[in-house]
Amino acid sequence: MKKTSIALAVAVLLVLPVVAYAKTVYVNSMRAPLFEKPDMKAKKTMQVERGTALEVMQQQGRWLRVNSPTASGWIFDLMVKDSAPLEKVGIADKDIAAIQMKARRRPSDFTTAASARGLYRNVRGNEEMKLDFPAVEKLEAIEISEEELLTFLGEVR
Amino acid sequence: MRMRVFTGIVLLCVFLLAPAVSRAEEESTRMRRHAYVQKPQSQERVELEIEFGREVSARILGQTPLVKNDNLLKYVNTLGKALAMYTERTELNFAFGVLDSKELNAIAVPGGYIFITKATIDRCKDEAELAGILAHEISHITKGHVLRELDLTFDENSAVSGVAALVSGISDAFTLAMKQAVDKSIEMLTKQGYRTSDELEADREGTYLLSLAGYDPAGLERFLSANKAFEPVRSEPDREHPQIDDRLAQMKTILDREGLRGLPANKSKERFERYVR
Repeated sequence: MKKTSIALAVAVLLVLPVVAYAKTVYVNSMRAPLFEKPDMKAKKTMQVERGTALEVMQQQGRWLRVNSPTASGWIFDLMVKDSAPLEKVGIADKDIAAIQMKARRRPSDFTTAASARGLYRNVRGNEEMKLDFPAVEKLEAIEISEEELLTFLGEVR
Repeated sequence: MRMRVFTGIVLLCVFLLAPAVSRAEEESTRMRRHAYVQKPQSQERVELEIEFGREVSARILGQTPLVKNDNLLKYVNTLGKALAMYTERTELNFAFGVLDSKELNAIAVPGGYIFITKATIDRCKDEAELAGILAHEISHITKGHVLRELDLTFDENSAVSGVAALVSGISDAFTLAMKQAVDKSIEMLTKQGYRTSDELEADREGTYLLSLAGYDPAGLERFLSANKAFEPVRSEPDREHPQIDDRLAQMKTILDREGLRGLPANKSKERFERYVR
C-alpha cells in the first residue's frame, strides 16, 4: 500500500513538469546556436535556422531545453519569441519623400535647452528645425552581407 | 478498498490539476519571460516604428554630423550588425552612425538607429569594449525601452497609426501625434535618460549578447570601469539614474554567476586599432 502511494506520488511529480512545459517558441535571430548544456561555456552542437519552431521541454533560468524534428539542445531565450519572425521591414523609396515632407517642424523648447548642453549646435529660437535625412539614408545604404558578418565574427572566434 | 478510493482520488486530482498547473506554470513562465520575450508585432507597427526612428535620427544628425570617415562607419556598422544577428529583432535593419562630437555619448533610437560619438570610440581599448557599448544600445531597442517610456505602441487605436493617417486624409492628427512623439523622444534621449531598470536591463542583455557573438563578455564592464564619467550629460539631476557602480556591480554578478569570465577573451585589438586609431 505504501509502495503504491509512493509510486503514484513519483508518477505525479514526473508527469506534471512535462505537461507544464508544452510550449512552442520560434527562432527570431539570424544566428541561433544550440548548446549541449545550459551554459555559455558549453559546447555548441548546432545552429538553428531563423523561423524554426522549437518545442520547449524545460526551462532553467534564461535557458530553454528545446526539441524539433531536426534539432535538440539548449538555447538562450534572447534569440526566441512566442511568434514567428517578421520579414525584414524597410521604408519603400516612394515613401521617403513623403516622410521627409511631413517631418519639417519648428524647433521646440527642448531643442533649445539641449543646445545649451553642447550636443546640439546652432539652434536659435525660431530657426527652422535642422533635419538631415540624407545622412540617415547614407547609414541605411551601408549593406553588409550575412557572409561578410560571419567572416567578421569568425576572425574573433 | 480504502486504498482503491485513495488511488482514485489521487488520479482524479492529477487529471484535474495538471492543466491548471500547466496554465499556472505557463503563466509563471510567461511572466518570468516577459522581460525577455516581446509581444508579436505587426508589419505595420514596425514600419511606423522605423518611420518614427528615421525622423528622430534626422533631427540628431541635423545637429551633430557624422564623422567624415567612411571606413570607420563601415567598420562600426559591420560590428553592430554582427551583434544584432543574435537578437530577436532581426526584422529591423540596424544602422550605426558615428557622430563627430567630443562628448562621451551613445544613443539608441527606435527602429534600429544607433549613434555613438567618436570621442566614445576613442576611449575604447579594443573591439570588445566597443562591442559592449553597441550591445547595450542594441538592447535598449530590442527591449523597446524608448517606446515603452513614451507609451508608443503604434497600435490601431493610437493617434500615431497608419489607420489614423489613412482616415484623416492629410493626416493632421497623425502628423501632430508623430511630432509630439518625436519631441518627447529627443528629450528623453538627450535630457532625461532611461530609467534605472532599463539601463540595468540593457547592461544585462548586452552582456549576454556579447557572449553569444563570441566577444569578451566583460567588454562593457571594462569600458565602464575605466570611464566612470561615461554618463550622458543630463540637465535633470532629480531623474533617477543608476550609478555606474550599481551597473558595474550587476555586471560583475552576472559574469561571475553565469561563469562568463572563463570564456575565450578575444578582444580583436589589432583590427580595432586599424580602423579607429
